[in-house]
Amino acid sequence: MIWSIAIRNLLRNGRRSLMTILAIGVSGMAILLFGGFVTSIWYGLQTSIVQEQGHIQIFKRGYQDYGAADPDAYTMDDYPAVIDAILSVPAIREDVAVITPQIQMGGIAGNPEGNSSKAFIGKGVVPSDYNAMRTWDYWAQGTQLAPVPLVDDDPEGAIIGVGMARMIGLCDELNLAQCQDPPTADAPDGPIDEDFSDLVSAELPGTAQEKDGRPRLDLLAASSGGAPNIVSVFVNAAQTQAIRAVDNALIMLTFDQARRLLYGNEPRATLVVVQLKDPTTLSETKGMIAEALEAEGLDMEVLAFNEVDPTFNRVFAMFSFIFVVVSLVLAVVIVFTIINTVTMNVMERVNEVGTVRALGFKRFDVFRQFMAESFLLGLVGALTAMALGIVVSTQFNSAGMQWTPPSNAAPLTLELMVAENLLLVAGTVGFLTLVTVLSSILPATKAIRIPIVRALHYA
Amino acid sequence: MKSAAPQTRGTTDHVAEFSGVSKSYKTGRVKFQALRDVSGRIPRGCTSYIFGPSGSGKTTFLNLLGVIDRPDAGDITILDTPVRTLSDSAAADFRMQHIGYIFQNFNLIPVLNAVENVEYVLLRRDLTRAERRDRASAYLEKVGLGELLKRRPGELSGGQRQRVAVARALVGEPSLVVADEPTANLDSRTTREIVDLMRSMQEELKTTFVFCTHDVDLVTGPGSLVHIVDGQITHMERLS
Repeated sequence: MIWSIAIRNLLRNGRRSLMTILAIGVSGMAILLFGGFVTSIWYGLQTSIVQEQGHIQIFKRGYQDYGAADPDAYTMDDYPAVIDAILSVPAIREDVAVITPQIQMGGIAGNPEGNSSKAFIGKGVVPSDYNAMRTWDYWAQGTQLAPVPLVDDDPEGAIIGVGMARMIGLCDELNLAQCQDPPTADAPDGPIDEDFSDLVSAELPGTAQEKDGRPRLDLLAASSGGAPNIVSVFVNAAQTQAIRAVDNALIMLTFDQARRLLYGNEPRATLVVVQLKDPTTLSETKGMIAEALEAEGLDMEVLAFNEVDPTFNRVFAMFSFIFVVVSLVLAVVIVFTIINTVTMNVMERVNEVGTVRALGFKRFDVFRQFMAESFLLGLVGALTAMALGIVVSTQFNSAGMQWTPPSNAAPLTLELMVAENLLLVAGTVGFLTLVTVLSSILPATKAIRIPIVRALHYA
Repeated sequence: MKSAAPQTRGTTDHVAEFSGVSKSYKTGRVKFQALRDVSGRIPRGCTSYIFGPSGSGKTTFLNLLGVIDRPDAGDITILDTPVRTLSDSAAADFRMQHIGYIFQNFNLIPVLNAVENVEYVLLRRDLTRAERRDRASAYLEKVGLGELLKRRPGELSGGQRQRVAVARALVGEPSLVVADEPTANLDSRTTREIVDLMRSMQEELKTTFVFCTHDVDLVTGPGSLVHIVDGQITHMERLS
């Protein structure tokens, strides 16, 4: 009967209950929509990072801490052995979408046509593997990246950042919009450029200035023996990178060409990247990979993508913090709305409280009645919020808006993933209901403390 | 339906005994002495009238008798239980088990219909829902409202509401029913009907009824009369 009375009491002041339910519903909808946005960030950002970097990266132990100072010392000596050790475990093999070696390096790039040179950050990838990784879309975000214009059977192909193209004077040759070659490109050669040209002439005599209309770049880097080595690449395209410093310096070349530049024919690589089919197994698979490598006597560091690059954690933490703040602000609104509603309910029913207690019901019985009413109010309000959140997010998502997060070069589809995040929906419904119930404790406590005689004569 | 006999407690010939009871109220800074050193007994198994003019202390006397208030001084024993020292929770249990209450303004719960209002006081009893409903319906039959079980208070006349209140007071089969000016808001014809109803219920159930009134026409035997003036019992008498 307690619930029956609760429902009837809410219906007794239908308009007031409705306004309270709407206040909870609209506040809850705001929480859900923002939560849906944060969910979208979580999935979208993770997808874009995993498409580029995979889920797990394996380095020779110490590379993360000291590799930048002495990359040769922290390069894995036999990457096929690492890959074989990982794929020898059936449970891992079944869950691996892509496993591929990569080389990270630095050096000097020279444009023989423009007689200019510039320090570069190099990334050597296996084109087919790298492009396969860019199609990963486990959460159906619809953000599969276009393949980079590199192919396995053209080891001399490369792509560069637009900033790099601008600085090294390839804007015109690559027909890049909003990109101008540097005004100093025609200036007399400096001593470094002259030295670089001389070195290239000595190392790569007779190399064509371009191939199939693609401009040539000469890459100089220290080989594993410490001696300078040079290879040429032909630039297929320039692509904007998310981070300006990277955009100004990136050259992505094939793994084979990068290996030739640094290691000759040795089976060395900076890292092995593993992309999983199912991201929910990340922690478990990471552990299994570490065990498999250890069993083979390979002293490697196995890191998840968010351990290698903290961007994901930072961006997600920032949005999560904003979400919590917004939720708390809205909770305050709900608290005052509920206190107001329940206080009015209580003041109107002081006489009834006195009657019920005179009939032999205890303070707790009355308190429980008010709590039941608040619970129902909160629950209906929360379910209203859920319905509003799902409907509004569905409508919003159908608009197909896009945005570019701070860490991305390519835009993501802006989605409010409300219905997809059951934890968010259930949590919000629970949170709203709990806040409503807690908000009514104070006025309900006041009501039951009024002496029976005074309550009975309360006008 | 379980037995309709009132819950008996105590062996004495009286249900309540007041001994040197005083009670005052404070309204702002003004202290009002509602009862002064009141002593007396309420006989068992009959109707007792607490009679007196407005402001004489009748309601205060009834509140103390109904265990919804505590005296400042003195002792009250109801059904052999010294109620002054009962905890809040124990007092609630005592009221639930032994006392029925009829209010001047009926005080029915507006969102419940007639039978639910009566059934409501049985919620804390060890009864099934069907037993509660059966017993409530039976008591509404007794007070002549068998056809109006589903009517809400707003759909009933003043007399019908007070009948529901009488059924509610009796359905828990208490030893003592206290009624605070139960006819004050009724017309004379309805007043007579309600008084007759309470008398007949008292005779049928042998429950002790105590109601306060300032209407001398209602004070008719058999029973007892407690006359209160200015917070003191001026005289008590048996009515035949």
